[in-house]
Parts: sequence; C-alpha cells; structure tokens
Amino acid sequence: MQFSVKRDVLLKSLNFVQGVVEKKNTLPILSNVLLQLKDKKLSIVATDLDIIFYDEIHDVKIVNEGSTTTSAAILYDILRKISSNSELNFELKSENKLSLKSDNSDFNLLCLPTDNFPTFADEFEGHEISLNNSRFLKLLNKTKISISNDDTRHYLNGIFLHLTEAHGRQFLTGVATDSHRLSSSSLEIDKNDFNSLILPRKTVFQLCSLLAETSDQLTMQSSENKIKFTLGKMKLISKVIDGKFPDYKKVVPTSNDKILTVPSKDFVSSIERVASVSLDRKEGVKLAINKDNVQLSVNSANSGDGNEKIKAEFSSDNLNISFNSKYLIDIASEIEDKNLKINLKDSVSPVLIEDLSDKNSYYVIMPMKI
Amino acid sequence: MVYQSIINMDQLTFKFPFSKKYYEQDFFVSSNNFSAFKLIESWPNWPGKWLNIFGERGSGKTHLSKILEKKIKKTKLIESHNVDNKIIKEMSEIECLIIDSFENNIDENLLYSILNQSKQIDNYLLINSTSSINNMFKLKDLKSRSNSFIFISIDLPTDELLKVIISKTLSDKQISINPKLTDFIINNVERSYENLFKFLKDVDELSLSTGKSININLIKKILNQ
Repeated sequence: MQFSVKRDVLLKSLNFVQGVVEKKNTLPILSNVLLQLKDKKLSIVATDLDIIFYDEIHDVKIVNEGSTTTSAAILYDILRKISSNSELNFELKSENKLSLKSDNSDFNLLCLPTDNFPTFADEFEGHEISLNNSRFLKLLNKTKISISNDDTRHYLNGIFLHLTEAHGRQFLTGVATDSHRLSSSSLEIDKNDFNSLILPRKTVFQLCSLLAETSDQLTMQSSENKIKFTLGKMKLISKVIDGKFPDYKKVVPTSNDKILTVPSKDFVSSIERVASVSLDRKEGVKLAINKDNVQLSVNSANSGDGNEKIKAEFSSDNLNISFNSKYLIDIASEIEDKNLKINLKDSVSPVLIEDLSDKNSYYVIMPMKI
Repeated sequence: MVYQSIINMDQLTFKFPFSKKYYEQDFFVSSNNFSAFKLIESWPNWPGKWLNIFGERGSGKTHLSKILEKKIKKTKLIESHNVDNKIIKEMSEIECLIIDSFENNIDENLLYSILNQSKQIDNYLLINSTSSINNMFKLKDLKSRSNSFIFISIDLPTDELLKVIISKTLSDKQISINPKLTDFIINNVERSYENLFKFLKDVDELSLSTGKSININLIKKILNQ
C-alpha cells in the first residue's frame, strides 16, 4: 500500500474519527483507524462497535492499493502538528509498519492488520429520508441540552426521534429529557414512514460536529435497531438505544396561563451574574415575578447572595419560583427570539418555555423547591 | 438495618407514567409463595370455590390475581374500594370475581350479599388482603360464611425472591443497575416487601432528583437517612 494525500484533507476526516474512537479500549484494534486504498479512493473507517464512521477521499494519489489500521489518536496528533497543505506520503513497509513522510518529517507508525477490524452489514429496510442539514442540526442542538447523563436510565441517554403531525403536515420531532427538563424541536418533512427511535448521546454529538462542518445533503435511513446518516461521502451508522422513551406529552403543560415575557439576553446575563455567588451551582436561582419586573436572587450559605432586577411583563399576580440556574441558561441560550415566553402555573408545576421565533420548538422545566 | 424515611430533595422532577407489568413468566416462585402460586395455577381445580390470599403489601398478590385473570375468560378484577352494589348483578355474567386490596373496606352486608350470590351461582371468588379475612368481620352470618374460604398466606421473602423483586421493580422503570448493588441492598435493607419497595422508590427518586446514576454512594445515602 502506497499513496500520497493532502494533509488538510486527511486531517479533516481524522478529526471526525476522533469523536468516534474511544480513548481507552480493551480491544487495541478499536483504537485504530482503518485506511483502505481501493477503487481510486482512500476509505477511512472508525468504530467503537456502537457507531461506525465512514469517509472517502478521492483526492489521493495511489501508487499501490492495500489496507491497514493504525492508531487514530497518534496519526491525528502528528497531522495536527504538520504544516498546513503539506503532502503526506504513506507507505506500508511491512504488515505492522506504516511509513509517513512529509516535508522533513519521517514517522514509522505501528499497525495492526485489517483482518480483525470489525465489519458491519450495511442493510437498511427503512425509507431514505432527506433532511435539511442546518435545520436538523438546529433540532439536535436544541434538544441535546436535555439529554440525561444517568447511565442507569439508558432510555433517557439520547434524543427520541419520531414523527408527529400538525395541521396536516408531517414533522420529524426530537425530544430529550433528564426528568428535570425537556426539550422538543421539530422540522417539517415530506410524508414518510419512520419508526421512532432513541438516538444515543454520542451519536448526537458526533452528528452535530459533522453537520456543523459540511453543507452536503443529509439523508437518514433506519432499520430495527440502527440508523444511518449520509452526508456527501461520509456515513455515520449508529445503534439506537434499546428502550422505551416515556410518554413525554403527559408532562408538557397545556393550561399554564400566567405568562412572563422577559428579554432573552438580559435574562441569561442576569442569571449568570447572580449565580456567580454559588460556586457549585447547587443553590437555585429564585425568581420573584411582579407585574413589570423579575427580581432574581441566589443565596449561598458559603459565599453570600446576589440580587438583580430586570424589566419584564407578567400577566398575573406576583409569583415566586425557583430554578436550577444552569437549566434556565441552557434553555434561554437556545431561544432565537429576543424575548422568552415563560408559561407558569404555580411554583411547583412544570413550566413551559416557548420561542416566539421558532414555533416548532419548546422547553419544559421543573422548578426547585423554594 | 431498618430503613426509615426519605431524604429532603430540592429539584422537582417530571412524573412520567410507568406501568407495572404482570406477566406470568415474571412471577418468581419461591418457598414463601409456592402454595399460593400452585393454587392459582391449578384453577379450576381448587379444593373450594372461595380463596383468600393474604400477605404483606408487595408480596405478589396482585400479580397472582393478574395471572388468574388471564386464565379465566369471564372474570372481573376489582379494587376493594371500588366494590359497590352493582357487582351483585355483574356476578351472574362472570366465572370468577377477584377482589384486590381488601382491607375490610367493603360494607359487611354488601360483602355478605356477594358471598351469597357467589354461592348461589356457584362461581369462584378470590379475595386478596394483607391479613387473613378469617375473624375480620363483626356480622355473625358473614363471619360464619368466611369459614368456607381456603386461606393461603404469602410469607416473608427469601433472598432469591428479593433479588427478583429488585430486578423486576427496576426493570419496570427501565433502570439497570450493577448486580453487586442488588446484593448490597439485600444485605442492608430489612427483609420485608413494603420496606424494600419504599427503599427502591426512594433510591429512584433521589437518583432522579439529583440527576445521578444509582450507585453504591447513592444507596448508602438512603440507608443512612
């Protein structure tokens, strides 16, 4: 195997590989990236057995076809430090030695043969659904903030993707919750069949990196327990979470009629300032809501208290309510409108937060005990 | 260790609905519930028509009732507090009446009428209660009628059963924990169904409220309350 390729082209691909390969692996082959030269292209494959990432580079000069695997982290680190636009010359010297030469650099990288690299069936029965790249990225970004980190509740460790209908139109809806807050975002799609599934957190984050870096057409195709995303020459195949997402609609309030309207940016900045007195962020931020303002305060037994007042409009009588400041900041940061519309009932019931500039997304947050 | 009470929690959580599952294959037969299970399984070959299964809350009486309910085509399973006069009429259309969670909370005259109706139409009756219904009643005739019941008790759980209860309770909520934690819980929680369920509920709630996984530290926190 012998080829040469531009450093920047290979580095871009290896950057995505880093998000898939696990740093600590009991199987050494899983720390490696598969490089395969065949049919006038360089294929790059990485996996952690739950996610597989494929990429193809056509802008490559092939001397001899062949394949090998080498440490993804080391190769990435070397390429990062090689000057931009350099030409990389690879040659497989023996079964376990890959030579990499560029400018004045000369590396010999240890390799493992490709025989033990896992292979995967690439068969999907579901319809291929075309998605708007940037809108789907928005859906993921808005919902991923609520993914649970509790690994004993695996069914909450991802985004629940499913079809919903409204006004005769079909939407692909993503919902995530950690039982404290919930985010939902939808994007309109052509009429399609799609079996609902839970997309794992790692896949969500990997997809976000891919989507942020490319504007290629995105398609999605699923089967019973896996899903494939195709973005130009790149493919990401992932297992889905084997679990049942809770009936989330049951916790979305429908009759919260006390409406608070606050400027989004001022609200976030104000919370960030008053929350500074709570080093571990354990104390909630208390909102004393009046007709025309909100008094925000955080009181920490260890460091003191912080108070601030911002202008607001409230449709009801005074109300006191407390929230985890991080949750409010996370949600408010995803709001596109200049104002936040917060729908309240009382100080202990779920609170609905709407984005007036994005009617297809909403958030629900549980208060803290005052 | 006798487990006492719940911790103070600050973050309120969503109450997602979770349904309990009562599959026959999920019922774990152990020495303490063997007789009750055998009798339910052997229906209609009971030594009598009326059966009273009694045992602590959470000992599996409802699960056994659900198994029986599935075995019989025409049956009615009703919570004791929902029983009213209408049931007398309905009884003629069913083969077996199952009254769950009986806590002497049915008017004694109504219960007497139910027993009379059952005897007249010769159908089956299962009453689940936390203690034996024998000697529970003041009405003389009802007291005498209650002697015709077959009484089966479900005793304190074995270690194996406790393991299954922990695993089933958590799996109904889609929670998976390290099996070593199950042993730790069994060794540290008082051996009673009610205590164990309360403990698991508190572990679940603390984990949800704090957003932390169920691990040894979280379990110790609950035990130390």
